[in-house]
Amino acid sequence: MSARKPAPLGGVPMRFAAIWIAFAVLILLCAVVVPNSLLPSTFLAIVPLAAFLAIAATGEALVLMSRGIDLSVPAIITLSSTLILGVSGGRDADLLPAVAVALLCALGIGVLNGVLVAVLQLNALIVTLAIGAITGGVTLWYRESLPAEARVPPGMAAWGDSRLLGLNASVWVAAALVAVLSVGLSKAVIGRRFVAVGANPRAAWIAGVNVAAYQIAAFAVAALLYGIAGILLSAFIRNPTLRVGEPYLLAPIAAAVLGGTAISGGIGNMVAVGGAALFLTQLGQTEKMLGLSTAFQFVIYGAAIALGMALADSRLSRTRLWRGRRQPG
Amino acid sequence: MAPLALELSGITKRYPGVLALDRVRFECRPGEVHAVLGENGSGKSTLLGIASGSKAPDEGHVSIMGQRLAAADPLRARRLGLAIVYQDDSLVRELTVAENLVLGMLDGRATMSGKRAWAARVLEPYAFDISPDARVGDLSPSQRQFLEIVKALASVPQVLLLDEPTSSLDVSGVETLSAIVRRIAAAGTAVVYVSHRLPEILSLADRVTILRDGQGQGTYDIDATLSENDLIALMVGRPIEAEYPARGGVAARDVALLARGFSGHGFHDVSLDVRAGEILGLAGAEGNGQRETLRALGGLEPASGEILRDGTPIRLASPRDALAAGILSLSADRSHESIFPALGVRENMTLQVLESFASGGLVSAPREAARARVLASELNIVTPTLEQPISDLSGGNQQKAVMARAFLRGARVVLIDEPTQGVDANARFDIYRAIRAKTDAGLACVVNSSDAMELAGICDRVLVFSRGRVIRELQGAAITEESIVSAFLRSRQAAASVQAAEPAESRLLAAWQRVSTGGSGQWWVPLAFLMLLTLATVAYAASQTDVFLTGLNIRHILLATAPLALVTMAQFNVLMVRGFDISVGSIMSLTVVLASFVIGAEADPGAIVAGVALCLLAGVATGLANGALIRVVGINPVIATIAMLSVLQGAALFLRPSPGGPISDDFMELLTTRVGGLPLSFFVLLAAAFAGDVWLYATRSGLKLRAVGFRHEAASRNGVRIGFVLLRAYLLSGALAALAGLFLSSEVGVGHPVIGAGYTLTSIAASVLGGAGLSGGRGSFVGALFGALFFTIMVNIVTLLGMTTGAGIITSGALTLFAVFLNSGWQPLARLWARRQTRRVAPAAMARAS
Repeated sequence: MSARKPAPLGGVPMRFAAIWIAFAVLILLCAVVVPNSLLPSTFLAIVPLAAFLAIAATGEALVLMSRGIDLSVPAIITLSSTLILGVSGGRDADLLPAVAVALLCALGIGVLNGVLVAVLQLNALIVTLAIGAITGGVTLWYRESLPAEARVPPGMAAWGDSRLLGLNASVWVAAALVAVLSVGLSKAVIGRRFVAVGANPRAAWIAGVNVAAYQIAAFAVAALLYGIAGILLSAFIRNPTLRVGEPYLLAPIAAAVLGGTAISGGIGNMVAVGGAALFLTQLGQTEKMLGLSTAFQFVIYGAAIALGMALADSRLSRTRLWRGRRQPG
Repeated sequence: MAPLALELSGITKRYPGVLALDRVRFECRPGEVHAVLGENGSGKSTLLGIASGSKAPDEGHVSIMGQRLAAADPLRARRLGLAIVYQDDSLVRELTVAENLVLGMLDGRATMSGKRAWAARVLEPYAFDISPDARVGDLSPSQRQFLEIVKALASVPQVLLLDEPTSSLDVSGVETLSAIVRRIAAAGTAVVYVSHRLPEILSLADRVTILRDGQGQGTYDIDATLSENDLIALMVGRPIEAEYPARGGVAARDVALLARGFSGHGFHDVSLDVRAGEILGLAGAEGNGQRETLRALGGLEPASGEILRDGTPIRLASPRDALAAGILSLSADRSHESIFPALGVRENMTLQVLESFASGGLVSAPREAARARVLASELNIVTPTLEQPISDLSGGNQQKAVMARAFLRGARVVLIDEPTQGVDANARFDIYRAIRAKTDAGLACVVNSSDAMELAGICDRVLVFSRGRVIRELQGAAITEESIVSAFLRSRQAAASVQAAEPAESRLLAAWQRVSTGGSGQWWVPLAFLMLLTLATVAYAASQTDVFLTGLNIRHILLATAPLALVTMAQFNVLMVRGFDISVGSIMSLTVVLASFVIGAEADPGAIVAGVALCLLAGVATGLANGALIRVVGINPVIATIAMLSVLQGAALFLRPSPGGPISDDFMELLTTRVGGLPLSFFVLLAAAFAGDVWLYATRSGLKLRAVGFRHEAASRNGVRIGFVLLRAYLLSGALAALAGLFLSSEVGVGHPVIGAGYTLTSIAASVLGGAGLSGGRGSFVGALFGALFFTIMVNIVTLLGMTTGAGIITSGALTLFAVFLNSGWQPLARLWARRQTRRVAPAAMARAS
């Protein structure tokens, strides 16, 4: 029940603006401590990673906005990247069918998640963990039938390396997706209804909205986004392994929460989530350049989730601290 | 004169925007029945809440048996001899009668051993024919009401507060209750009796105190000179604050909505009609079926009967059906069922008509904003901008924004539940004017309100409800606050004791539901199912490979069960209180890593003991941190423990980036000690699980824990400290997970930073398969242990049969889904099925009715 704060920054509420302020502070710190991390070459090297995370995190944010949670992200990313290897067989001619199969499978898993959660009303956490496990098992089995050194088609690899206006192609894809989702949530009729379902499913039901359909859609669109992230990652890495999805269990949740998404539903801003992905990626890079163990990344994700929740979505925020006045009753 | 048993002096209580009680004085002598009378919302419940110590007054103080109640403390009030009977009871439906009675007693006054005999003794004098072993959920509403009373009396109170005790009783029930009240009053107990029913009060009470709008209207002795009319005159007669809009002089138009033989939960055989251009009011004391009727008309609650909209039969299975027929509902529960708190005022107003501003699926912002602005000024909505989150607005402005929906949508029939609850006076009259303007333009409106004056002010017709039926229809000039209030106050009608016969298939469903989700009475069902599943699996494995039943393999399975069993028990103990602990797997990983440092290869016995203690301490600290994040900071358990998972995983990886650091052989041997060829650990676990179940099911402490799991509200009304129970559960979970990590470390032998990751999901699945419910309160430690054993056997079989790792992972994922489906997933399916059945039946019923 967090409120949007009165907008201090050109109409952007504080909970969504906060991540950009944090990002600016991080850049300033980097400029002082590790100026190397701000070299254009370093930046260009990490920004595709931020793009993959941003796409996965927007998916997670959609699910959180619908009051669910999705822990099947790594499994779906790994599945789609493995399907690209398998279906294309490394041939450019079969690239399009491979992409289509990968996306369709991702979508199918998302719909399955959504039906189990919205129709059978099973717990989202358990459903997505279990479906993730099953998907992981199937992927493992499928991967065993492929040559160990399988690579993506050369055309795809070339695309994955291509740049437009100096930025990696994946970055443009991520930006486009974020833009489409942003506009969709604020302008489209279905987007507006989706937001209402997250904000108060009971009131939405009474207002005649088909709540279950929108909840299913959240998981389905999210899974599609993970699938896209998996495909882009494959193009970037060229020979993805079964561990390609591993970093994407906690990072998308951390990015979504830092981007101001409320797990109590209905509140989210895809641009801010994208900013959070950029922030986390730059933070990871900085740690690496400072010679810190990569293990710190996990600690930071955890602290970020807890802190983000405590500020935006918890009992603390409901009291005077952020609201300025008491809730009646 | 004897000292006062209960004394409240100068009590003032403010809620945001409302003065609920204004310097109220109330006293009750020993042996006296003292009634409290007032209209809905006059402050009676607040007064009881303050008297019982569950609410703190802003001013004034409470004394019980001469002792001052310094702060709001329900437990101290009970120790001083006060007991309270709640209108919506404080019983835990999933527990038995005997368990509820024990739960209601102060510590030390009743124990779980011999609870049945004790409960039977407590119940015996009343001859209610309630078995101590019956599940409270299976009792009838009036039996529950009596049980609630018996529970209060079992503590032999000096002061007894009764809040609307007869609302679910029939005639003989009211008589039985009256006899009980007279008897305990004669024995010297002070009885405070809150009721809406004048006949009861006049026949039972010695004195009566009247409240009106939070102000005391005096205390009167009840004698032959005091009549019902006198009391009514004291209760009503609030000054009229402003002009109500003129009633429509509109000529009668067509019937817009008609219901015949309309029955559902809380109301029975109601017939009503409302015409275009008319405001129909539903009145009655709280909880007499008027609200339920209104909600059912909007498709919010299931009901049966014939509904005609403009003369055409319609179906009302959901709000969508109702909206399709032009019927729109506005709920009384504004924050839960009407507003979208986080969204702006404009978004709240336009949700139902977005299409009308859209082209190509995209909403035109200028058109939407223009329409919203017009409506906001028409309804006089006061807000800085229309983009302000609606939760920042006052109740009145929220309500206006919600009403804008109805007007934008162009509904033909609008059902408004409590149109002005929590609304300030000015906004109230804006709302009345808006409703009247729209009805004059041809809208049909049904209003349910607990405020009789409001109904008198705006309605063309009023139906008065009592105990689920319409008892009176008032029209035109006959509608006054006094006529409405006296209609329901004078009602002598008792609750219908007829129970509608359920169709056979829904009885079957109910039986199924009881078995699969039932309370302690059916504890053995999931266990028996798990045993069968395990036996079938074992039989299959034995038929496939000879290796399976060899001593070596069995030993291996039992040994491998230990870590999973412990972590499952950890998870189960959190699930019991309706929590989740996603961090258990990472606690195990971190413990293994820690063990590789503090219980290294060269550790001597002293170092081993110290190391084990350190690992357990780390687990306890983690559990406490989880509990604090959840209970103190207020973060959702799933997210809080996911954050913890991440931090612990990072710590484990930092300490051991890759597997390494051998663990003491002595320690490993210690944990794999065998007796009679089988691992000692398994027997210890079995004993521990039994001990755990004894705690859960045979001690008061376990009873409180289960009560918290089933129903927070009821548990806290019975004096259970919920925060303590929750913190203890997370602490125990951390400790058990650390212990699981120690056993795991004895299996792997080296510090492995991600070894525990897979255990989290399995721990939930094994708990659920062992009978735990995600909704709390259900299951057993033994079940958790056997759930873990089953999963270990499955893993063993997959390995033995040489299946791929993939097959193993798929099996465990599928089993998890299967377990949660059995746990709860079939219920929505059954509901969907049941709804389809009623849809099929409905036309036939309509034909019969007409």
